[in-house]
Amino acid sequence: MKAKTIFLLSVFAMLLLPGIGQSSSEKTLPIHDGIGGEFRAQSSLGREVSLSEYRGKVVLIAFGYTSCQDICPATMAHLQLLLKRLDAAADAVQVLFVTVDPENDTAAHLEEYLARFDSRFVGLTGQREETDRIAELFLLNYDRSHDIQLTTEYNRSKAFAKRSYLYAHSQQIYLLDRVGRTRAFFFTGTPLDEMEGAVLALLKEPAAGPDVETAVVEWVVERDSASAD
Amino acid sequence: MRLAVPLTGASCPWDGQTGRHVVEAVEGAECRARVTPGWQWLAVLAVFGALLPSCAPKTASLAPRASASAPRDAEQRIVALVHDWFAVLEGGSHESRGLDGFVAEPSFELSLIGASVRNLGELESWRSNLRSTHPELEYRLDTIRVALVGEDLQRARFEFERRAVDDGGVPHLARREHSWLVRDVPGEAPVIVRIDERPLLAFQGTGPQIICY
Repeated sequence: MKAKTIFLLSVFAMLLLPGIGQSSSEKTLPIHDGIGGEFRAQSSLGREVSLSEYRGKVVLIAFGYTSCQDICPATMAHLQLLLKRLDAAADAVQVLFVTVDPENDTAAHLEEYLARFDSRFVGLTGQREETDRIAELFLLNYDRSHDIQLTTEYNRSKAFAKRSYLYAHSQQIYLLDRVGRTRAFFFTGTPLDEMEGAVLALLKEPAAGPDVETAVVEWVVERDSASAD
Repeated sequence: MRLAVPLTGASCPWDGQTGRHVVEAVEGAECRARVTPGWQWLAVLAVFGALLPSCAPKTASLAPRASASAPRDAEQRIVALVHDWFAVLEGGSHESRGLDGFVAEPSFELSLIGASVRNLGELESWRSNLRSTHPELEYRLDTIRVALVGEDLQRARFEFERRAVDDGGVPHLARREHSWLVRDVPGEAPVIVRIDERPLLAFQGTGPQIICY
C-alpha cells in the first residue's frame, strides 16, 4: 500500500514538474506560417507606411471600417484597454487598423475615428487594391452589402449617408512579433490578461532589429520580476 | 435485440460467424447490431430484413459485388497515398524513401505555398528545404474526401495542420487545404498529377469566418 502511494505521488510530481516555474505567458507562441507579410499603404499619419517600419515593435492588426456599428468599435475599445494595461510597454506596441472600406475611410477620417480610442493607433487605407492585398495576406474575408441605409447619428452627419452599406468581415485581431511574423489571433472577447501575457512574451523575445526599444523591454522584465517576488 | 439501421445506402454485409454487420468506413454510414441468440433473432431479423433490404443477411449478398467495391478500393488507395505522402514528409522511418514514386512523371505540378514544383529535381529540393527549415515535422490530417472526376482520375480534398519546430526551437503552425488530382489506373499504383495548396487560418474546420457587420 505504501509503495503504491509513493508510486502515485511520484507520477503526480512528474506530471507537475514541467509546469513548475512556467506561466502561460512564458510559453513560446507559435509562428503561423503563411499568414501575413510585408505591405505598404496610405495611413492616418498622412503618409504611406509599411509593416517593416514597425520592426522592433509588437504589432496588433485589426480589420474593420469606421461606419461599423457592431464589433469594430468594441474591438478598438478592447485594444485601447490593452494599451492602458501595458502602460509603458505600450510604447513598444503598435496597433494598426486596416479599413475594408477605403472609399469612405480616408486617411483624415481614420485619424479622427481612431483618436477617439487612442491617438497612437494608426489607420491604413488607400486604393482598394492595396487594402485588398493586405486582406489577402492575412486571409481576411469581407463582403459588401449594398443598399442598406444606416441610421446612426454619425452617418447622418456625413455626406455619404445615402450611399452607405455594410461590410461583413472577419474580426480576428492578429498579433505580430517584432519581425512581423503572425504569432497569435485574438478576438474582441479574448481576456485582456491573455492578450497582455502574449504581448509581453513577444517583447521579451531576443531583440530582432536595431530599433528595438530595449529600455521598454528591460522595464517589462523588471516588472515581471517584481510581480513574481 | 437492438438494431441500428444504416443511415445511408451503404452496403452492410453480414458476418455469419460473429453475428454482426460488417461496418465499412464510409463517411456518414453506420451499421451495427447486437444480436440475441434464439428465435427472437430470427423473428426480428425477418421483420427488419424485409424493411431494410440493403442490410438483410441474404446469402447472396455476402459476396462483394465488383462494381460496388471498385470505387471503395479506389478511395482506400487514394487515402493511403495521401497518408504515405505525409509520412514520408515527416521522415522518421520513412526518412530514406523518395517522393519520386508518388508523382505522375514527367507531367505533374504541385502548386504549393511559396513553391511551384514541376519536376523531380524541384520536388527533392522542396522536400530538402522543408526538412532543413523544420527539423521536426508533424502532420495532422482531417477527413479526406475522394471523388471520381474523370476516367482514371480521382480528386482528394482535405485540410491538415502542420506542426513544426525550427532550428531555434520555435514552434510553427500552418493550416492548409489541399486538393489533389490523382491518376488511378487499375492494376497500377495511384500517382499525383496535381496538388493545389491554400492557406487557412488556424481555426480548425472553419476557415476564415465572416462574423462582423
